[in-house]
Amino acid sequence: MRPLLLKGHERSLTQVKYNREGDLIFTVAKDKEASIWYSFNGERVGTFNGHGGTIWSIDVDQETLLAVTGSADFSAKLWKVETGENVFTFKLNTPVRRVEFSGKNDRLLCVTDEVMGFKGTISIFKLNYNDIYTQDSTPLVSIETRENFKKVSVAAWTYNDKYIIAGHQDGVISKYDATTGEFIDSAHVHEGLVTDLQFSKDRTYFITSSKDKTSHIVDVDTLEVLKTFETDAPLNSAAITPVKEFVVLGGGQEARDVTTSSMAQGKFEARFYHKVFGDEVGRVKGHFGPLNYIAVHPKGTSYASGGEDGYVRVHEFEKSYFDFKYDVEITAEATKNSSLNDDDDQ
Amino acid sequence: ADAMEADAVLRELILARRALLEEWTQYRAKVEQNKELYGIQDEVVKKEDFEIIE
Repeated sequence: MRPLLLKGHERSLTQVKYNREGDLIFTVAKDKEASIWYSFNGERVGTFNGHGGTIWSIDVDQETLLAVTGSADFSAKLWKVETGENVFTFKLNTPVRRVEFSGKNDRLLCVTDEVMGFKGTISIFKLNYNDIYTQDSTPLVSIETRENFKKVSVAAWTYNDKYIIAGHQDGVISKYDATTGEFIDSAHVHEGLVTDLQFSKDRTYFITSSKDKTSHIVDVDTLEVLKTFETDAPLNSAAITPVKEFVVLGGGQEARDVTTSSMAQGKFEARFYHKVFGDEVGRVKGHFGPLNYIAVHPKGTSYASGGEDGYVRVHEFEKSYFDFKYDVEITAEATKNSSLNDDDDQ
Repeated sequence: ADAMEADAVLRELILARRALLEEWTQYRAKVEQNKELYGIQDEVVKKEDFEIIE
């Protein structure tokens, strides 16, 4: 792998995203500025300026027309990607922890913190693409954290924008109807804060990461844990790779728990696990602090990690990565191909 | 005896992996069958779609 080092943020990275084509990388950090970079050479294309606090989250729509950022300044801002213009600001009651466009680009999800007497809420706003400067600031649906639930840390849309899956502070995963906001189901899958939740390409299953040092693959329909990956460090992010059956996990010990003499102690590596077999297949070093977010290129050709050290590292996968297969995978593929050939012959 | 034991361990491992792969393939096949129900658009990414660094 040949890494690109994206230097531009003054403080810790909070989220990293590729656009749908994978040619751009969007990053946010605690330094109040969002950045856009070319993924193939790491050159910074531009920045979004306007937030007054840490930016916790960023997302870009399916057409790379609009981007959205969620900040500790109690707002979510819509940006025109081409010009970097702030076209609209959604004002919320508390810091915004997560933002995400729906798959159909017609709605926006904002997760807000549970502070100052306000309940943690998932607010869903309708998006107006006919006039991007005029948006309805009243949410279509507000999903308040339920009575016996801890606050929501992350949330995302499922397949067909049908449900919203939320991860909670105490390790619970909950599911809601995205149209009505009605609570559907929940499962206690982690023993600590759910730090990230990222979907498979078809959005029928997702991967979670947690401070409890584990990661799970969970089915959207049943909330059944399909796979578990155990590590020796608190996890901040987890992503599923397309093309290859891998998952990438990132995290590391908090800075206060690591001595300055040994970086290895911090476990600041991206860890690759086989999605089906659960075995660890590789580690990538590089960051000088915990990995706060991991994003995988939509075509599975590279991954980007944002670190507590203020850097984004982009690693392009080489041939050996794509060639790697277990014997049972090779046998299964050969069997499948031979039965397909037999069908063709008949 | 050690070699036989090692062979047995390896065999167990292969069988376990085969079972896991089969289980996962069946799970994905079920989703694939209900693709229209899920409203999933075909977004399968193939290795052939992009250039790999040698």
